[in-house]
Amino acid sequence: MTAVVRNARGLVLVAVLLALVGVAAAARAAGGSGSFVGLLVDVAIRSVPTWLVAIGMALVVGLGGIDLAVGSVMALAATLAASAVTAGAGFVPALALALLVGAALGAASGTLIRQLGIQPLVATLVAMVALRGAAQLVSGGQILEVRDPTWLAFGAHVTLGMPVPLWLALVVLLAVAVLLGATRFGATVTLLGANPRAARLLGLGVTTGTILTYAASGALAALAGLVETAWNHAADADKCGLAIELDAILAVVIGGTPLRGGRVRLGATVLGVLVVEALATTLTIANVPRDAALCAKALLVLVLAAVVRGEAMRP
Amino acid sequence: MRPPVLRSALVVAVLYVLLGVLQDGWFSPRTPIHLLNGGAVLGLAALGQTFVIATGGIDLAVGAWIACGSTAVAAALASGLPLALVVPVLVALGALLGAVSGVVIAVRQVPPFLVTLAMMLFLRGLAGTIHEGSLGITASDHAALRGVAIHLAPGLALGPSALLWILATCGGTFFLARLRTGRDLLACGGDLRAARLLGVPVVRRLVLAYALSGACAALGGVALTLDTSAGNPGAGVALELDAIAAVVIGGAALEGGLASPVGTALGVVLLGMIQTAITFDGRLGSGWSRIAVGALILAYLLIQRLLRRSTI
Repeated sequence: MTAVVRNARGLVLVAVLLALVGVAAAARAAGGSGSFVGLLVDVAIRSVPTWLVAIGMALVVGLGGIDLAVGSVMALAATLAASAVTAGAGFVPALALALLVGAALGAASGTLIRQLGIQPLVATLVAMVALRGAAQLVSGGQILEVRDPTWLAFGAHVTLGMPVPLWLALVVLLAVAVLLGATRFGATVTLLGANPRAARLLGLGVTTGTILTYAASGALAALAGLVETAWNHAADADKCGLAIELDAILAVVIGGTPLRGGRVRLGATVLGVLVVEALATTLTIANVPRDAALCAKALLVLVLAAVVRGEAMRP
Repeated sequence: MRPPVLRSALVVAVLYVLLGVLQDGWFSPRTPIHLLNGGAVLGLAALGQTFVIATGGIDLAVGAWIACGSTAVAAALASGLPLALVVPVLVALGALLGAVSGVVIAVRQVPPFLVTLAMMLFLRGLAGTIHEGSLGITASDHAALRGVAIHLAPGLALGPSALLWILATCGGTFFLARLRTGRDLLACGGDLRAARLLGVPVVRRLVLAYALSGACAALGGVALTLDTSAGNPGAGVALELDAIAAVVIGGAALEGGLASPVGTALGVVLLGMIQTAITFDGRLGSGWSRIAVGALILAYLLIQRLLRRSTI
């Protein structure tokens, strides 16, 4: 039964995706040039930051938690790496710095949540606001321009027949899928979400598992920040990753990962990301202003939340 | 159990004296008046947040209401509508949209943060759609309301937004502590199942809490127009965190069942003192005040946890 439901959900997702891209293609055709496949690739490339963040979010949600700080971690990692590159460091040290900072901040959230018993929502909300402030301090109110060619390659450079950001996203997806399906860590994450007491009694590393999961979410967010920066050729402390947590949660929910945890659906989450991004692209092409598009997206979350509920979502 | 309002008052008093020792000119009657006048917008949003946190929920949409409410007031007044019509309609809209969030949360059992996060982004988008950028108000009835004040001494006056905040806090205290309906909110937060078994209409009370939060936050938007004579769709960014901080500093428990509007008002005053001290100093940017508020919430929650552990 569940398998049927899951397949049906997958079909619906693909259908929605195709429909949205169809609408977008039609809109573009009305304006002039543009092909269906080209648009699909466009949507996929644009979705990479959300894709990376949503994978981390799916892990955290599978654990029964939530991470609202992802957008601010993106901004902080991007501004830190941009300052490092501007100061003369190479791209690799800057990347290492960004990933390390992202993972450390995630681990800090995880520690607050697991060791000190602070609600995930509150801990990551505090991080969301404080880290955006920290990113503004790092950037000094400036938009930091990025000229490093290696970094910019993460924007849309094509290697081995595919854009680099898509390679990156696929590799991350595969790595996390293996981690989740074939390691003790994966078992810890899903069991912690389903039944924390059982996980503890089984002797799984409950504390380490939680901290590592939030650290992974932080590192993935940092990576997403670098990709978005490469896309824009600049790191903007105010706008980088703004409201991305909503997109990521939306993708996770559309993908059918239950918000109370216990199960992670990575593939479906990525489909959810593509649906969200296709919607955004359609709205952009249809010349809907940014603010009205935000309204539409928020309404979609509200309607979805009201419709899905039950088994899939319980507080 | 009663919320430790006295403890919050003590913290506020100690910090007040401490800042007075550190900074010249702090011990002037201007400072408390400044804190009350400057805290009204956050105070109204935090008051609404108090009702929601009393039930164990959270409302992330309060900051966006400040933006959307103030912009809506400015736009409506610019189109020639009278203030006496605009304010009630706006507050009713706030209650209505809050109730929508409440219904999705209580009936469909969706986590509060998700619903109110969506509502927050909806309202932000709506604010920007109503008007892009700040919109000044020149209406005469608005100017007349801005003139309302209680003059305590020459040059010292409690403005209209502060009066609104004080009145609302008094009403909120009476409601939450004395009225059956208000106590029901606390019961829902204390133990939802027990409250339901005791005959509390749980769904209606939860919807009421979010409706009150929406109405208070919309009123906060009105207060912003009284303070600045303009509506601003960019206002109130991250204000929801300040509101949560104020409620927590006021002695409320985020798990619900414990909350006090007076405590929340004290929390707003404390945040205002920190803000004033940071701007007084002049060397620290707004990035620092965000970090300070975050650290303050965490510190408070940790202290709360330690105290609870030691009493059990």
